Amino acid sequence: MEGLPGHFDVVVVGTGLVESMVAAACARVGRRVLHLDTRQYYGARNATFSLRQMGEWLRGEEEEAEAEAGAEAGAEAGAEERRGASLAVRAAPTGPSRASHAGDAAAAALFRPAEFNLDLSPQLLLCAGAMIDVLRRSGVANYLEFKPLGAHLYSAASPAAQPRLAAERVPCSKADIFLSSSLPLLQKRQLMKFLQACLARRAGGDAAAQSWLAGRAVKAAAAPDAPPPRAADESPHGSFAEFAGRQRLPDALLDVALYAILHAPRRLESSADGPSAEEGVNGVCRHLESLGVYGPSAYLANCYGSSELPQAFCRLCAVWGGTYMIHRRVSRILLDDGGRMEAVVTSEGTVRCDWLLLNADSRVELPAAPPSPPAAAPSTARCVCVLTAPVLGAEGEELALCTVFPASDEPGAPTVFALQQDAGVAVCPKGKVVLHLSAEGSAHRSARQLLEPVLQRLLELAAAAVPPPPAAAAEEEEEREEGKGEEKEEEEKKEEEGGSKKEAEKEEEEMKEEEEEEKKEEEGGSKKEAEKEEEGQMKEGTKEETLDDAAAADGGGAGEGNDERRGGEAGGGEAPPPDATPALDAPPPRVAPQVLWGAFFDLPLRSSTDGSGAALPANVLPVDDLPFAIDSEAAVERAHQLFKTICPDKPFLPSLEEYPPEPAVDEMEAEIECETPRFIDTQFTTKVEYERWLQSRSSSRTSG
Amino acid sequence: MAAAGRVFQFKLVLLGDSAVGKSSLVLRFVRGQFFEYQESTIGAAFLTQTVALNDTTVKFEIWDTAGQERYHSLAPMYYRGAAAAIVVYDITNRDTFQRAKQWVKELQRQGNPNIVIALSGNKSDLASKRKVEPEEAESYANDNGIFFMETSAKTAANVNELFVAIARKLPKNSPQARPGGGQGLVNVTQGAPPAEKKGCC
Repeated sequence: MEGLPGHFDVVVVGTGLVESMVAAACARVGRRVLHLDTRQYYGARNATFSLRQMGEWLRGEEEEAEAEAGAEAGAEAGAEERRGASLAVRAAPTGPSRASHAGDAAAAALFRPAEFNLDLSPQLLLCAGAMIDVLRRSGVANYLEFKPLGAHLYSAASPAAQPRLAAERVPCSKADIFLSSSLPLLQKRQLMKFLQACLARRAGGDAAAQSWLAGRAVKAAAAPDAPPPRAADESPHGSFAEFAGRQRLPDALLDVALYAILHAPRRLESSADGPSAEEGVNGVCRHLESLGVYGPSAYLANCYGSSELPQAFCRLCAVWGGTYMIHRRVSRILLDDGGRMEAVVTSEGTVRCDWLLLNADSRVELPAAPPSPPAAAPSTARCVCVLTAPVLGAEGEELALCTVFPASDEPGAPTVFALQQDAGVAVCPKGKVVLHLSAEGSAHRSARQLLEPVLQRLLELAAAAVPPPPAAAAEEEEEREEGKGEEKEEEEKKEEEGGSKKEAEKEEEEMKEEEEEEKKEEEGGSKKEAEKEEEGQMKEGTKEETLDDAAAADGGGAGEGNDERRGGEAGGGEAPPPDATPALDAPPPRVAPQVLWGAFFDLPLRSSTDGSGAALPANVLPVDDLPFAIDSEAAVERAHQLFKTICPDKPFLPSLEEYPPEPAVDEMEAEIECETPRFIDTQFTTKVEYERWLQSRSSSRTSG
Repeated sequence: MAAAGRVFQFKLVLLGDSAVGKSSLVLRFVRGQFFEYQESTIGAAFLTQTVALNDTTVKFEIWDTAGQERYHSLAPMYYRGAAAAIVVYDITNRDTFQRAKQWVKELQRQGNPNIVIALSGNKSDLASKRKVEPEEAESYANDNGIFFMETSAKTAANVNELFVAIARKLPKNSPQARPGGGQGLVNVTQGAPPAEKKGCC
């Protein structure tokens, strides 16, 4: 291994989104950065896994391997005799708590596990938000591919009162509001007035309000940092809920604003609770500004999973000279006489540095630290599953977000964010769908207890939108035929992959049998019993994994719903009648989505200091796990803060125009004559300025 | 021909040990320049160059490793969606050839299954210090279904030829290696496009 330089300005441990942004920002303004990660993958809590990796992670296999490596590194560090004080750094557990329901062995037999990109922390990007701004300005967007969210929906969770309440579109643009079939006319007017009032409260808001009224995209009124609220008729103090009340916004619409637009993580205890009026108004305006920028909804998703974001920032950091060492850790922090960190011990040697950033994958053993407190720690509740068909959105809107907010009689109950992704964002094979449910965790209820009812409900809604099974037995036969054909295709695929065909066949036979059994059960009216049984004893295996009691409603084709798409909105009764004589090339009938693979887990929110009261040295900055957020705005804010601590006078991830690169130190350069290349066009997509600068530098050298 | 006159854009990645001349190859190809003491790649890691074939135009979006290969810490995003890869070794350094074989394996494991791989024995101008015979590399390439050329970024020997050969090999009729065939993707880099004309009214 090549020797590391002995000194870095900044050592960053952890490749989560926040850490990677800070690393990139520091390297970009000329700081020498060493970036490590204790794990062998990028992303930390923002990692994206294949199905196999996800299974290993859920079972904690990764931890075992790491524990061994950690013990080695620890011994190494311990062996090193050092004068002066130091702090030991241990690897913190990264795995989930209270995970249930993982069974990748069966899933692996169904499809190539590598075709999946499953996020630990799924995220979207607000079109007019700070993340997109940073990505565009810094050029990091060049490394990424984006797709607009197809549908932004909400659903009020009150299963007792309205068991079949459909997911509605979040009404935001003028057209949305007017076209909404769920809003009474009076509410439409109230909502229009309210949104205008929000826009008008911001600087330059009148123009924005006009623009929004005219159905155009709303331009950000001022710099995102400081939009001073205009002295309007309403006083800016108080909570957003109170402000909305003064604007006579009906409660149902206030809920939409609070949970679907402002993403309040839990049901407010009272109207004085929740975001302040200013935060809320700014949030609503930001949302309105995001509409129509890149697509009909306010959000973008990036392809290949959310781990691409930190990786792209890491790339920027590397491009600006950052050194990357994955699967290496800092095992000890060395302190000077004044108690400041002066160097760190890494698996590649001791490195002096001015700043150290530590994410929560590392835990510093502080001298006065009490034994770590029992697990009442906050967490994020997560569910990830692979479905055979979408549960949200209409056809062409497979990329969809649905905010399921808690009923008004459940103060403190968490908001659940359901993000549905498909092959269009390269997270799963064609014809499959990945559904993520995320919510603020609870100490008393596991992720499964919190999220399973929501999953069930979404599946029920989707199943209800599918036309009832055809009465004619002949047609059912047809359907089965089609299903078989698709299964054959799947088999062929497996053969190509060199998978054991016989096993696959056996699996499928078993699946079919089980499906048939379930169908019979349902026909016998014992559906409820089957449901209970399923909930009670979740065994391993494909079918046992199925959370969907409605899945059995459809025939054998359900498992391989390659092109099946559910048209129309959930709960909408606009389903076309099933084709009486389906031709071979006709689109296959719509099927109820079925869960092929799924897992529930809690992600504990960890801290590098682990709640100990003792302080870290001033130049060691902990990056604690952020609470779950469906957009990455909080991560940008945190990264910005950390960067400002390290480089108070430098711009955060600036553009090349704003902060041109400093000329490198003198070095010898020689240009060799060669024939002109026979290429028609040389074009730089990015870094044009840099190239020009390079060119001018080289020409001045040759002439000089 | 169906593909006549069309422009195809492909992501091309470079792989190989540090200091085998990955960046020099790119700079030679894209800008016709060569620096004897090329700094390890800083600041320039995203270049494009267009090659005109008889009936089509191939635009390469070239990704350099930016030094992340040094401690075996290349991010998986690097491989994603790459249609072509150039694995580079230094003909005066046997270790780099062995490592190149590892990179080929890594690509076949991580990369797009239809990726076009070129093996480049760079620094062919330093023939007197040669440690890897072209025959050996050639037979390795043949065995692994990839193609091989010795190049010199310094003299420009075979540099353009290498890229042109890749451009010829790239499939022009299969869907591009982009998510969903590139459908519905938006370009965030070039400012905000006008709102989509999707939906009703």
